[in-house]
Amino acid sequence: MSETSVVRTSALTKRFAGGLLAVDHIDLDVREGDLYGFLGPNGAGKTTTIRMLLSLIAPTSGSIEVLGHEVTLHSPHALEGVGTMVEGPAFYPYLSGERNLFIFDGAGTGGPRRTRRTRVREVIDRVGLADVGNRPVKAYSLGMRQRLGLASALLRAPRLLVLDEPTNGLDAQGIHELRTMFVDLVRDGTTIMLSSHLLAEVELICTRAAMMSAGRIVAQDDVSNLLAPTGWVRVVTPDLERAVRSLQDGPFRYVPTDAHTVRVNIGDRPTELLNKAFVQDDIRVRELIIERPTLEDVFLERTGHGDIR
Amino acid sequence: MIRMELSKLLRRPRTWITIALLSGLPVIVGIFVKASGLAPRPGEGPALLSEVLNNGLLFPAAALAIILPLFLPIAVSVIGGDSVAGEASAGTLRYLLTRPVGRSRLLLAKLVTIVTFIFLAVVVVALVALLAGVVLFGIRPLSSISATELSPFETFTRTAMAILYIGWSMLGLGAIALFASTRTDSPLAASLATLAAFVGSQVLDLIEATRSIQAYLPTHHWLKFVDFYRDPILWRDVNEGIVLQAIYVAVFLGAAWANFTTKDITS
Repeated sequence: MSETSVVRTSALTKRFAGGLLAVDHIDLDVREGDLYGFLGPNGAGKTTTIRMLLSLIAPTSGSIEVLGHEVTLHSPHALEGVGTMVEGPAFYPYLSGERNLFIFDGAGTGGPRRTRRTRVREVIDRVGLADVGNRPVKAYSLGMRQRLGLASALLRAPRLLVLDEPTNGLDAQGIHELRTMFVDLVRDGTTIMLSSHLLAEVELICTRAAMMSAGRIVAQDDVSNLLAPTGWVRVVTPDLERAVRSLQDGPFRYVPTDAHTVRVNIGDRPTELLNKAFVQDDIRVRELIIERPTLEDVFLERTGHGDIR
Repeated sequence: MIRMELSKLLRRPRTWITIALLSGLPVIVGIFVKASGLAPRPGEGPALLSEVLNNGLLFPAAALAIILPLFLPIAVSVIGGDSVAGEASAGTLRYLLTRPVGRSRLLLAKLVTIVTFIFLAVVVVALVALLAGVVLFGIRPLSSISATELSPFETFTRTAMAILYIGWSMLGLGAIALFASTRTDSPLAASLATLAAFVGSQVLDLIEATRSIQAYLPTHHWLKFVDFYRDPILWRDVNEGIVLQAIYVAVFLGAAWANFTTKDITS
């Protein structure tokens, strides 16, 4: 993973005409090769931010750089090399899926007409719609439209994919396929920025994440750092009483939670210390679980709503 | 971009249904006129319809006169009003604009499709009417409105000029529709706003009290296309009409451009 910035904003701010401050001085940094999760509840300002990145909405202040180009409403070329899906797919229902892709591929510079058919074929195969490509989009199911939307984003092999809630409307199978596809794309050198209000979904695949709440960024880091161990270890043992006695003499804080489990705070010391102490006292350890936060925990903690452990 | 917009226009069933309806009405009128032998007297009813019993070659002009006061402007309002707002309400506008497409360029492509639709409609209506006119009424030498004779060839070229003039006359309304279409995400609202402008202009054109401004109303010179059938052609009003439409186009296209290129797309 290199450190080249693909998306960089500085003090990006949007105040709408009605006075609503939707985005408040945010500094995003998406690097090449990231599978970047842009997280936050509905209404946090994610979509407004993404629309600013894609030159649909003019920032009130601050600046945006995408793939090395300054983005303004008047700089369409910054979007060459960017594939998008914003707030659900949209098509011309009276045209076939394939014809829709022709239209979007033909919109704007950067895609030679000679090779258009090949490009359309390629992406429609990739999302598994080759069999229904010549049917009108009005006959497509929600899941098929979502795939077609993704196909449209993949036209011209973009270097950056910006996807807003890409798994909306997909069933479990579809979501799984999509995840696999994202991982494949990133392996092939594409950078993906995807927004979601489903934090658990992002946890599974993203390498970096930013969390947004009420227009501000509350966290932005590698997912492995965000999900670093909490310092608590859960010990499951049939010898709970003796374990507690042994802990009473030790340096760690602990909380028994049920007949067989005790949670121990070992801070940043290695788990094997605890294990060794138990073994020496002849306490049988059935499970030793390092507790990690979920992204949801991190989010709640950073926004001040969490039960901070 | 322009090619893609045109392909959307021409592949959309609505376009052809609209044109078929526009062409159908004059044919129905023609059949009844033929069957009953009753044409309106000169100076009454749609322009030139009084003459078609004598000569089928005038039927294209009569057909345009039938659709010009209401149906053609409605069609232009609907297609023009839908051009940007329709994309906004369907959500496709954001996908077009997140491609490397300049907004000015998209607006230009939309203007080209509106102009294409207008001329496609008037040409198809005229051709259908020509066919219907020849079949129903036959070809005869024709007396012009100023009572000199026009040869069939002259009738033909003058009809071609009239078609171009009528197409051109719709451009002002088309530009108003495009402007309205950039102001809202609802194609219905944009079309109705355009229709309101059209009806408003017609109303102001009718009453005595507004005589001083009537020459500047977008619809005022529309029916002046009959001047192409005078001998010699009476150019004064036609020229005024052409210039006036150009001014309306410049003003509303400018407004549409200023609005659309700075607008937040939240649809």
